[in-house]
Amino acid sequence: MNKLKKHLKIAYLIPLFLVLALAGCSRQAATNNANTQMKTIKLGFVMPMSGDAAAYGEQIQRVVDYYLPIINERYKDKNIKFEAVYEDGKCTGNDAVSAMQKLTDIDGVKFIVGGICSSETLAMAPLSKDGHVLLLTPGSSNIAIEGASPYLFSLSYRDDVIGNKIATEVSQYKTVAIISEQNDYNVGMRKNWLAAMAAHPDTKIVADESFPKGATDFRSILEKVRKANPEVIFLNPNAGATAEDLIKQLAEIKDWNGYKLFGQFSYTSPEALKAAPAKSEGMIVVDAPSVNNPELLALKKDIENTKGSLADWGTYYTAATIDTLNITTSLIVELGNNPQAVRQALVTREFNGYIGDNINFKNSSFTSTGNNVSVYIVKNGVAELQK
Amino acid sequence: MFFWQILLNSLVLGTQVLLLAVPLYLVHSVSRIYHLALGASGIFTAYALYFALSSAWPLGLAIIFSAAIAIILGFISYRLLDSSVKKKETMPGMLISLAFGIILESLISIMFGTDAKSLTSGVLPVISWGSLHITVPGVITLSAGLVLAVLFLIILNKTPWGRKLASVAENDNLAASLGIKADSVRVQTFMIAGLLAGFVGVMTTLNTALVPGAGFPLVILAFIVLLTGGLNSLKGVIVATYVLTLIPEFIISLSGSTWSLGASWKMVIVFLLAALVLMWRPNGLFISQTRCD
Repeated sequence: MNKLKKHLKIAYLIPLFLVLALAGCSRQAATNNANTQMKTIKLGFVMPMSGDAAAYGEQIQRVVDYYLPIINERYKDKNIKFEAVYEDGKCTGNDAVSAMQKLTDIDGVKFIVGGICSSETLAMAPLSKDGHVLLLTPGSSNIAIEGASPYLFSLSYRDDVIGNKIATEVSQYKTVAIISEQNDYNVGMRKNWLAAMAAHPDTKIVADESFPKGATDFRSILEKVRKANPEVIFLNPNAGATAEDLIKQLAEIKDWNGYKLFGQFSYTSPEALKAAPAKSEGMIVVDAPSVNNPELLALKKDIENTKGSLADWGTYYTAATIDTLNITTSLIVELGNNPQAVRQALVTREFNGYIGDNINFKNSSFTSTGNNVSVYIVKNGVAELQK
Repeated sequence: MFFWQILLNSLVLGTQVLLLAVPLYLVHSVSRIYHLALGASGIFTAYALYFALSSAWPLGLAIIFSAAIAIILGFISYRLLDSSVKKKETMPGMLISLAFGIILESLISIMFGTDAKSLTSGVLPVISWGSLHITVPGVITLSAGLVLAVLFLIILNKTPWGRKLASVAENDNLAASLGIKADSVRVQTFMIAGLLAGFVGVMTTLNTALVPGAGFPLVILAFIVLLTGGLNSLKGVIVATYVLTLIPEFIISLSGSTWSLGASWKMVIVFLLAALVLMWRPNGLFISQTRCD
């Protein structure tokens, strides 16, 4: 009886194996057939898709979702198709590293666009040193990126350029205070600004306050700054809700006026300026220059019409994102899915893009075009470029 | 004036901690368990209010809905911890509570995202006296803290329910032999604790911002306060709350420009103070004698 059962089991199993084997073979054949037709190359994206800076991740995704099909159309004749794989870096080093490892180990990605927050990019940099993956960021600005990895390049403006400009702008006042968040971007910005302020000894820094990442109550810090009675307050929080809460709580102190507010990238966002419109009116914001290329502006308008707002990401960083995509994909098409070859091209060639002509990385991890910054003044809740 | 403003700000922060330390104290009294999920439970309630308000529900209905959520969370906590309480397994009980808190926090992140939300739009309404100023949620927090502290001192010391709670806290078997339904007292305590945690969750996030992890630092402070004040002394908890919140705020705020201490030093000072107090009085500032089980 037992023998009969055993034979029956084998009899069931043989056809099952045959079916599975045939299915596997046919799938393999289909895949091989598809591969001869179109080669798909995965591009990884590490950016904040949740947390306070999620708005930036969402807006970059809009740009990529819009622009990657244009690139794919461009290289259709070469049978190359690029596919975006998005991972959430959450604006933190740990999450960015997890995202990167998932992209390289599981998805087989060799090129990553990102991180966006400096914390993300700086944490990923050491893992790219062996050249198995190349990182290009359109948004990270901490100067520690310089030389952090031979396989890391940034199309963003450097914090020291912004810090220098803010220092020059506030040097016409006698006393100044700075309030900074403790994360890689803001710590870097503060450090560069303090270094630049050394060149302006007539302006005294009367308060230099900082708060931990994730803090939501700044009232005691603001009182401490108020006691120092500065003529200028440089608000240096990270983008998103922290920037909004900081200016909202500043606006609660109704009998404290007569100081000039300065801000960086975090206060180019309309949401941050809307949080306390009366307080942010007249604020001076120093950031990357507005890109006025008509082709880019038309492209941005079309992206906003079809995918959604890019208000927080702005013209410069939208241009930098598109340039990153164009440069990366053109080099991959030319040199193959090979980070070493693409790196060699990046450090020896020049590229044209929306952020400027002659983009190159010959002597720096940062783009050669990032030497000028713009000053914006907040008027009616919008950071307007100062002529 | 600077001193008084810092005092006012610190009192609001201290009262937020107190309002969470009181339910932590109550639950510990009847269960011997540190119910660390209370922080996340309070923030979950605040998100429930946010959900109701952003769905354009009337304010009254939104408050009732969030209060119901707070009570339900209290009841769920009771059910989760009941077995540990009866077996007097305090450490597994604390771990179950911690796990429940992490689950609640993760659920919030999944449902609402991790970016900060605000229960109100724009700048909060402020009440001013001369140069002093305080937000309306700050006033409500301070008033509620004062009222509830007095109320709970009266309830625990002067009412039959307070005496039942004290007897269950001291020896639940003996209390049961006297006809006191220990389970009933416990479930009521957990639900009241849930409601109080919900209130502090709403008030804290109303005064700042709504983020999924906002409850954890608060409950850690409340836990430290409970240990420092003395596990069976509500008066001790109240005193320890203000000692451990006012002193760090003042040290940071009054630190000069040369030796200015940033806000990141706050928790360092809190833990240092707590360690010093516990080295001096290991059972807390105001411990009183209790009968051993």
